[in-house]
Amino acid sequence: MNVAATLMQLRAVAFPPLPGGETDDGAAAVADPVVFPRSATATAAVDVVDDDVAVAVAPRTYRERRFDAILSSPVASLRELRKLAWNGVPQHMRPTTWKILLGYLPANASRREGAMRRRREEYRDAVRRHYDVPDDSRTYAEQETLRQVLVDVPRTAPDVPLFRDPRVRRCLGRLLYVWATRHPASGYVQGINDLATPLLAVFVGECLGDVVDGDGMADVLDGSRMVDVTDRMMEDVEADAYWCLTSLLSGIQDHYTSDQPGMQRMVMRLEELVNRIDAELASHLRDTGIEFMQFAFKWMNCLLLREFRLPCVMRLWDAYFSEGDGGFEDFHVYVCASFLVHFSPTLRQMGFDELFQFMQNMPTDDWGDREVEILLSSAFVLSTLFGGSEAHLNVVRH
Amino acid sequence: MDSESYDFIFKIVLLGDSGVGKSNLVFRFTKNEFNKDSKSTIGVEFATKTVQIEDDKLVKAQIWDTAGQERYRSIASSYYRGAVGALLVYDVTDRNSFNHVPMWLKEVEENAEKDCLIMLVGNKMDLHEQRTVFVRDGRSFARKNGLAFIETSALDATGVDTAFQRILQEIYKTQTRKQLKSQAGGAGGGGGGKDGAPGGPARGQTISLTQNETIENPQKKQGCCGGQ
Repeated sequence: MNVAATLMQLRAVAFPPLPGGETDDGAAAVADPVVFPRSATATAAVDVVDDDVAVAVAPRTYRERRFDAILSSPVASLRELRKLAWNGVPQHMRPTTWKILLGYLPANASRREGAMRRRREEYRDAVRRHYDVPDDSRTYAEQETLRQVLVDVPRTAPDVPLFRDPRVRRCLGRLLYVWATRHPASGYVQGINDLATPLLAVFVGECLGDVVDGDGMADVLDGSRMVDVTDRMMEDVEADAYWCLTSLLSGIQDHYTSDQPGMQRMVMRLEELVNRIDAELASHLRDTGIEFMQFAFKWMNCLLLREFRLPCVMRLWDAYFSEGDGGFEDFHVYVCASFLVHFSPTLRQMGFDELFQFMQNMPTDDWGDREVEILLSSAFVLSTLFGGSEAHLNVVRH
Repeated sequence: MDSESYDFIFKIVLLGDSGVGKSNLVFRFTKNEFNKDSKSTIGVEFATKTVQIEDDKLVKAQIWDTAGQERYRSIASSYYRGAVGALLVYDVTDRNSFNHVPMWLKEVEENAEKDCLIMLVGNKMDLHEQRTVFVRDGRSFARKNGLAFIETSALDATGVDTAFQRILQEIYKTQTRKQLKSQAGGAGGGGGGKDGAPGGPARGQTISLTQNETIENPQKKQGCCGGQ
């Protein structure tokens, strides 16, 4: 079967203008029958609901109302939430949705308030015990960690004004240090700082309430709304980001332990996958002498945060969190493969030097949700064609 | 830009502690810019620049800028393979980064080519006030270990071009000498092996970086600016 051609085709046909002003359900129904069995995926990725037409009375889209219904029901259906979130979470619902999908907030609505209060208090306590201590009481390893964290905080998303805000930087440094001291098998590894940024940005946005809609995230990222965020709010943002980061990392812990076996495994899987779906590209890469490790290591280590602008990463993560535990491990490999294959025609024209430099700075500056959604759709197709996750890859691994 | 011609291509690696300014040295050398918003390097970054040496030789430097954090050391060292030059960088305002130099030296000696030329580079020399590693410290370590030595500032560009030019020049000398030796039992005229020397590498020829021709006593040059 020619997967590359299938993907190309998908790219061409995935998002035709859908007839009528249909809902998500309608969109799901027109999904390409060959490729979208799981949940309401791919085509539904483009939210076709038109505010003005479809909802004249309520100021919310159909999609938002569905989110509302799930989030405000006594016990949120995780299955439903995942299905819905895979296709993108509206900005102002993202904080709660992510927290529930990551297991930080319970599905049971009546328990959320209390659970959150306890976890926030627990985090504050951890800060007191690990961070707010005299330097001479830190072990050598802890001092090294602190040094490294402090070197990296100013280098984290330095192009995003929000992360130049002194309070945000303090939060980031503290939560990274506390995470590292509480997870000594891995400790702080560069790249984990990048992973905290979408969480911090989304939770800062949460403090600003419903205002953060549409272009609202732009206001959050440019730091201009930080005057409206109190110190007390920042404490909660920090605690929430800490627990969500902890949850995210718990699924991919061996990516950051000694010798990073998880990372090696992911890169190897990516190579195997590309061999199968785009043999021409794979053989071109081999001919030039470039190794997957040389360009894809960063894709795995920073989960594409270095490749995309933050809003694109948030959209990507909506799907990853919906995938559950496998999102950052299995599904991510499919996304990386789709990403690479997307540039296949260009890459196949390049020699070693050009390839290397192109791939460390992929041209995604003008990418938005739409491009990410096409990527997600392709990745979804791949994951379906190749039997979900492990199974097919084991066939080719010896 | 990428299809330019060159006589030789040399692989150079940068290594040293995290945050000493390796990426900005590369940035300064290849683009003549300083990026104060640079992110930490994950894995490896790659850049090239072609420079002229010895009046008429074009040398393409293939620069591999590696990640400095401890956790990445094993993966970073895999990038040293085939390198004929290494810039071992520390930060003159960070004593720790200087204390780690012997460890980095060992890494490069174990993983790069046998005749890899190593230059010790003390970066951030513009930060006079915060300096904790002095010129004499760097110079004496370099001398003891047979390394070239230079201090630089990627921020104000001091010494950066010199560092790369010098190491490329030394690599050129070492490699052409090696090439001459390996060819037709020493036909070449007079040791210098400069222009037109018979048997010298032809234009456009790439010196193979993985050949294992041995050259006895690979000369490690004494310092650039520091070596007197």
